[in-house]
Amino acid sequence: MPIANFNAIPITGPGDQIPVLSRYDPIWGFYTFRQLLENTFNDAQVYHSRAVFQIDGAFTCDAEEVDPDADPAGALIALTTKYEALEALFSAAGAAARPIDTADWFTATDARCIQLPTPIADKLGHRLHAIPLGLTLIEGQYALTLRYSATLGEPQVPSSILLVNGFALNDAQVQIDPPKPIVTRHRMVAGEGSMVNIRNYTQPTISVSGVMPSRAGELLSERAVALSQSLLAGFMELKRVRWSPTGLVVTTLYSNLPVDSPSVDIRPNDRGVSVSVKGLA
Amino acid sequence: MASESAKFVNNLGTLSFSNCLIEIADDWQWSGGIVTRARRIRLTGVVRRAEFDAFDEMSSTRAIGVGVATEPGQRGVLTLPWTSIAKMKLQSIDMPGDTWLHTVNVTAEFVDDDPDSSKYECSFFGITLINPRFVLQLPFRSVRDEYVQMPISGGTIINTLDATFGAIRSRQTYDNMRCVLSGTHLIEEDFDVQKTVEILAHRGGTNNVASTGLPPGYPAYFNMADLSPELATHLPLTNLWVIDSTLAWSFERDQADVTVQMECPPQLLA
Repeated sequence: MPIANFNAIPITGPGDQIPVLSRYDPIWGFYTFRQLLENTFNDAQVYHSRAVFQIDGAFTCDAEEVDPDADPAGALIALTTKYEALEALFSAAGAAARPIDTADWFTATDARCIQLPTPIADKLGHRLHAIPLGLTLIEGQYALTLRYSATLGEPQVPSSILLVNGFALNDAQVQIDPPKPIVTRHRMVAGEGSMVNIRNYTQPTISVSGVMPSRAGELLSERAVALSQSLLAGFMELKRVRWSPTGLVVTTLYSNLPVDSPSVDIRPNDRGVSVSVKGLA
Repeated sequence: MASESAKFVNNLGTLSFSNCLIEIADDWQWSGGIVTRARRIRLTGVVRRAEFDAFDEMSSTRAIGVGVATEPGQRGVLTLPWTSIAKMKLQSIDMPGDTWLHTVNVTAEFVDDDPDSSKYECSFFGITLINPRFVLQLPFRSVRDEYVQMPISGGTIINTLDATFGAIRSRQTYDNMRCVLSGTHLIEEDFDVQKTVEILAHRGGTNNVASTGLPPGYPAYFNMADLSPELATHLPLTNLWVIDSTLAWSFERDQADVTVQMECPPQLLA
């Protein structure tokens, strides 16, 4: 439950007919907090939950210490300035690039995340970071109160990450083709079935594909270049990194895997580079 | 209707609702001749924070997937004042904006859509496949047609009903049967990729597969009863061997689509 204890502070703006119990934060104004926990069941019929946070807030003349009667235009500017600052916070997070290092994802250093106001915290008391999903300015008496509704999502890191020569690939797909027989068939004049001659078995093939993020304005990230340079040696190492309660667990899947037909697909508008490479075990 | 209490128990803990309102809705979905029933139950009540925390392992960085960082939730037993329903899914918990200290008003939605059928799992020699599919090519005698060149000299009339200008048709004997087993395999923490590859290739004499009839290194034969005793009652296929297999691993979802293509001599279904 990402919430500690909400103190009840009624909104006291002159436009409020019915006070709402809320907290106050310099960025969020007066706000109330709501959490929806949705469970997604996988093929094994076990679920994994993901939270959506809703913050309904209001910027009021009282809180901004402006007098809407004496200076209605100035009061409106003061309130819209607060809202625009919040909107800019959401826009900046939505436009931010993925941190290059996966370990930084959805932490305080991840520019894609917005820190939720105190006292919202996880069960360990840590402040929460969330990704922006929506921000709506609600119609009302703008000169007196600006109300908004913000929706944020719980960011979650994948349970497993693939490392190719030490470089992380996002959205990785690994196709393993085990050895298969090299077969020659002969149909028989009489009798049923075929006569099958097995010459040998193929070597297993491991095809890897994934995405490496790039910074804004960067067509080919330094990491993608470094990965491609490491593949020039003709071998690759595949490792699986898993998050666990005790830390990262690294398992080597294949080492010294001969490299075959590596390629990169540069997609500037997606701010990423698709990498695919085949390994012959 | 109002009730004193209700509770939901699964592997993560117990969630007790007090002073709750209960709404029950039944849906029947018709798709061709198959009817699927889903019962949705919505509870609005007060829960204790300590209990709720067990269901919400919220942390500032949380891993997705199954079996990582947090134990995956399973279906549980929902106990209502007059009955209890097993294998219920906890679909969502909505905590509205409110002031709270140790208890909170929540709305929880449960779904009872546990199917009576289609819960089948299959194992390919230790590789568990959920949602399995088994595609079987039935034995048949293939037809081969060969065509002669039609005359192109001027004035020749080709009678389309004349067999002379038709195909020379021959019929083959029964060929080997192909069957494909596929399904989803969940990648566990201790997943051994080399062992899995050996099982899928299914060559005799490897670490995990014993030789059967042929020298080590050649295909290891097996019967349908080794894969699925239930299917073997109507598909008593024998002398199956693996001709091709793939494991497509969706890495960040910790699951893989496994496909095993097998071959066997032509056989009749029972």
